[in-house]
Amino acid sequence: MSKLKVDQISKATGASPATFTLPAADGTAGQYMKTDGSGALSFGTVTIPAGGKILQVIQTAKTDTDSTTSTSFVDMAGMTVSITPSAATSKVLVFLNLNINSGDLYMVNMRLLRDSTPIFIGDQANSNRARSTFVHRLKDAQTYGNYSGQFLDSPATTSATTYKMQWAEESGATATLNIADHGSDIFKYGTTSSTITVMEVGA
Amino acid sequence: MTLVANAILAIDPTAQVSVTAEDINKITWHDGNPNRITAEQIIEKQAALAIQAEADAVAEVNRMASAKEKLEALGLTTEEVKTAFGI
Repeated sequence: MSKLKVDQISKATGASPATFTLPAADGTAGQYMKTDGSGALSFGTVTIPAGGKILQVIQTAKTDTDSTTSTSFVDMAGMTVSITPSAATSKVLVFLNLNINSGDLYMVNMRLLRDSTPIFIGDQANSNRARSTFVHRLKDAQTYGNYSGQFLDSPATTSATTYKMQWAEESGATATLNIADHGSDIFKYGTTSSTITVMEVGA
Repeated sequence: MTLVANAILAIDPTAQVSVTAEDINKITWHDGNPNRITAEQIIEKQAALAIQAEADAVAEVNRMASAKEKLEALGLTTEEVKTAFGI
């Protein structure tokens, strides 16, 4: 086998082709070759930025139904997910997808919580308005409202953290999740599923 | 079938409850169930409401048929009644 031994390489044609000086020694596995801009070649290591990486993804898919007549916020059964961040600097990206129904024109307020703290809610307006993530109201007790949203939270902890949904119904009616308020046990009155998903995003 | 929560509301319009999976054994009474509503009462009310819903549906069909008949007696054609009133 022949061996070509040179210290420098250059393009054969052109008015003033650049000349590159080869490194004296080999690099390590996986390294790339780079120039200093003056023709001196050396080996470098690829550095992947630490921030913005998805470190873990956890999802709860609720396939059964839930309903409430409560006029103050109570937990939406099963719409909860726990995550333990690997670093206090991590953020948690929360994805929500809910299928909600209620009696004709009755209003349902829904909110997202981190442990016992409501997050992703509106500011207080006046004195009595609920501070919610979503508000449902439809003129049809058989039509679902689909509510989806994303919220980037900064829990600043490495302890187990729970994200959950709560809801409250207007007095005199029933709020429902994954099933219509009205309808009988026949094919067209289908049920649905809802999800809450959390992603830990590295700082 | 009428929702469990709706049956409870029909018994006590101020009841504060949550029901998981439409399971009569998975009722959370946020108000402590002050009227001591029983599972038997709920099941009985669900059955009564289902019968009532069926009767209401039949009555609605009959009202529509009656309205159509009266409109046609006034001289409207079947097509005109359908176009104007959707029945």
